[in-house]
Amino acid sequence: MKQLLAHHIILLLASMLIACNATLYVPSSSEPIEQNKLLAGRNLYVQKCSNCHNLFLPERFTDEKWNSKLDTMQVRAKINNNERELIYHYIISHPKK
Amino acid sequence: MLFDVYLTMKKHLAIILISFCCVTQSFAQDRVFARTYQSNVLPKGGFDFEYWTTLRTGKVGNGSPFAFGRHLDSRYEMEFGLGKNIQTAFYLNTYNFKYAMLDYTATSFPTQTEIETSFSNEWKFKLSDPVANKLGSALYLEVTAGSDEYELEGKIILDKRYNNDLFALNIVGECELETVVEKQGSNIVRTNEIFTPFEIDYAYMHFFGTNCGAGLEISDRNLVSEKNGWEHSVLFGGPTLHFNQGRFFAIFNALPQIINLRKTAVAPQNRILDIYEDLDFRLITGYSF
Repeated sequence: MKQLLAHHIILLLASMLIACNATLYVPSSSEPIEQNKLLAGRNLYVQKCSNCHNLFLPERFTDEKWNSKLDTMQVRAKINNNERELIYHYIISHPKK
Repeated sequence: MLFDVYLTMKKHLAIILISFCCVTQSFAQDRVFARTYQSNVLPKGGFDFEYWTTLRTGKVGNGSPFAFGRHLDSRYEMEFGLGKNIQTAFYLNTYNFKYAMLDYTATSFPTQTEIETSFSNEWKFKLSDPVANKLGSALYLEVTAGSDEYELEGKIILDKRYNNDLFALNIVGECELETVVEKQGSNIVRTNEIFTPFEIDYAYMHFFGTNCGAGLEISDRNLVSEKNGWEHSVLFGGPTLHFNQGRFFAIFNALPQIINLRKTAVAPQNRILDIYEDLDFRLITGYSF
């Protein structure tokens, strides 16, 4: 029984370790207005997009690709122009590696 | 003649595939595993229809009382997104088991068929997102009422999406109340037995683009009964393939039984073939409306 539990705990820890990496970035700008704008964009991205599909990390696509994806999804997700701009701004502002 | 039928079938298949390719981009909840659940829920007003087919075969040898045993189970599922990270689903389950009992004194083994139907209601509450948060999580509850059993199943669902890779872990606990009818002398006695299976499922999938992925699912199934305590711990594992196009998705998994990790007096075998099977195939096809 101990062996079995150990086996599961190892797999669980491995999963958790993987889970600790690669999360949608939380903006940290020294400029308060910019910080609020980025946070609003993040919240909108999570709320509007994760309702229907898995979210993608910003680095997954180029800025141009994100722009065209947002064009396609804007109508479907009922996102207004202001919200679209906030989401786009948040996505393209991700820390570049 | 046979070649004509083949050509017609091929033509129909091509039409179906083209139709699926023409539908619009998916709003589906991105289900990709056949056994392991993910934390995602449908959006408010979202509706999914899924059809599950499970073929379980090879309940013979190694202490099994069967000369032949094969299951063909179906599940029709309708999922509804209720908003605020809550989803519910209704299932109609049919269970079909064809078997022949092993009898060394007999010259032939007549087959018998057991058919059961049941109805399930599922609730899923998403707690965190697998991309936006460090770990995606959800709680799951399913109630089943069948012709000879009642079942309550709870799951803790954890998952994490990292670019093209998805990991998921489910901790599953069940409580089954089953009616057993026995003949004791001249009396027929009806008793209720409580079983508490628990299961741990792990899954991994790598995505090739946005439409398909391949991965692995591992399931560790355990049984605890009132009479015998913790009876066994059986490990299953096999590949899973996922494909989606537009609003349509299909998932296929093959899950062979690998080994019994906990051998006891009631389950001393390396593999348990009276309760479980040698090989289990599942195909889920679904459409999001």
